[in-house]
Amino acid sequence: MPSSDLTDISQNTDPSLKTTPNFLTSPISYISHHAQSLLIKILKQGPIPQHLGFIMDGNRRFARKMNYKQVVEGHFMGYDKLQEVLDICLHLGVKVVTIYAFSIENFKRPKEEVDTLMELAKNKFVELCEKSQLVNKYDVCVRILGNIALLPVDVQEAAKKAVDATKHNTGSILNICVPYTSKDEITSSIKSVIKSVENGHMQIRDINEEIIENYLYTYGSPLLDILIRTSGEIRLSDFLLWQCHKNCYIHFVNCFWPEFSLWEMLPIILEYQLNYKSLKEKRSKSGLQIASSLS
Amino acid sequence: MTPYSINLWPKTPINSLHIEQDLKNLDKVPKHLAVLFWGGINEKRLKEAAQLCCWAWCSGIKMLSIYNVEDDLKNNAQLLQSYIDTFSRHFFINEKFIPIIRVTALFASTKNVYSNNENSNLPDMQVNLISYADGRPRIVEVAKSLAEDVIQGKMTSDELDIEELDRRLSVPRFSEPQLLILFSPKIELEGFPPWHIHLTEIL
Repeated sequence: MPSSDLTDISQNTDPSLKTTPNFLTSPISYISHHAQSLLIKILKQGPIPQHLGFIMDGNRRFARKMNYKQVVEGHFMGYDKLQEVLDICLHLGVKVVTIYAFSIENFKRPKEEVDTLMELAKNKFVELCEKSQLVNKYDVCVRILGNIALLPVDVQEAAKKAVDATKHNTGSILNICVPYTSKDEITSSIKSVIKSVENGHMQIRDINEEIIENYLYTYGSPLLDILIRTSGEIRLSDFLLWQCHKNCYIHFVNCFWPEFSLWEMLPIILEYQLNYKSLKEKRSKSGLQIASSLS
Repeated sequence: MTPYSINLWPKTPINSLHIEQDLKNLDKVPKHLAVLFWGGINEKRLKEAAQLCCWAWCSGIKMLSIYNVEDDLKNNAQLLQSYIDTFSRHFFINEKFIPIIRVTALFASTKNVYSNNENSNLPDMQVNLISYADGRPRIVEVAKSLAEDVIQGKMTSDELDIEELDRRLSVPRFSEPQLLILFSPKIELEGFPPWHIHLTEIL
């Protein structure tokens, strides 16, 4: 028997951690909730990807499709969906989730939208370090990846606070890419490597793929297993180019981000599980190749 | 809905007129198309690649990059060029002229291998053969040469930006493809040069 709380949720509660729906008041929610739990239990019997990347695309188009008064409402729905998807991923046992929150290119959007997004980011960073049930439930360490100096100062500070507040958490990692482009990440990595050479900490001949990888923002996370982009667009848009270029499955899903759910994730995880052995073999093979080229 | 709707009819075009029919349904054609090679290198597949080059030229594509993880495709550049030359003679029978399709195997060093030295004219379509070495390893090479430049005082590390890397990574003939096609149900990039595909549509 489920707990007897009703499904009425106040505005302040984390929507992803709703109390269990009651069969009598909302049978469909109840069935759906329990089907999801069962599905997650089944998936957990097989291998689970360690690192997932998401390009959360389609918020604005979703808002237009639903005829919201303002297009930015789509971004608020997008944030709610993010909570939900994070809950699913962490429940499944994914160790690291990397999300493309804001691209450096997005600064070119209308000022009003950019300001709203920055405000949303700031509020959510504050929420993450102060009272996020998700962070507490899964012991999430929040990391902000990107050229942070490009953000408004108040957002930078909120971001730093969120990172500081969660840096000792060891349960799982949430990488929030804002503001980010992969080319910027690779460039900054190469710059750091060169500075290291300038300071005498490294020789030029030591520079190799592994070194560049160690200086990327994603250092410390396991290899990227799956990259998912919603809204049907079939581009990478400068996201995790270095990380996804081999031994990583890329999925372009044909629904807007606020419509994404466990049902869309299901075939993706299943495919990963079916191909797990061959992925592992490919990875160990390329590990050997790099080792032999280094020696 | 992607602007690149590919017509997946099973009929193999015999000559260029067939392609023109198919093209009428497309909104947009990429100037630079990239393709992941489909399996091991053998005679049959090289002939298929030659066909692909001709079809690509008909579609208005100016540059075609064929990627194979190993270097053996590059080693067969001459052979591919000869298949293209043979094939184009009867494929383009209805055209006023036979287009010059030049195959180049890109190597990490600056010396590229040209397989067709007869014409010094600009080709009508350029075919690049690329491999894993053109991806991350190339980025490593560029990083090393940048480090040397910085140590020698030719530039400062602060001057290093995305544009500089763009310049050094665009080997003169390998620009960014607009479209990348994989012939497999799963999307796995297998080491395709990461820097060049930041905005590429992937099918």
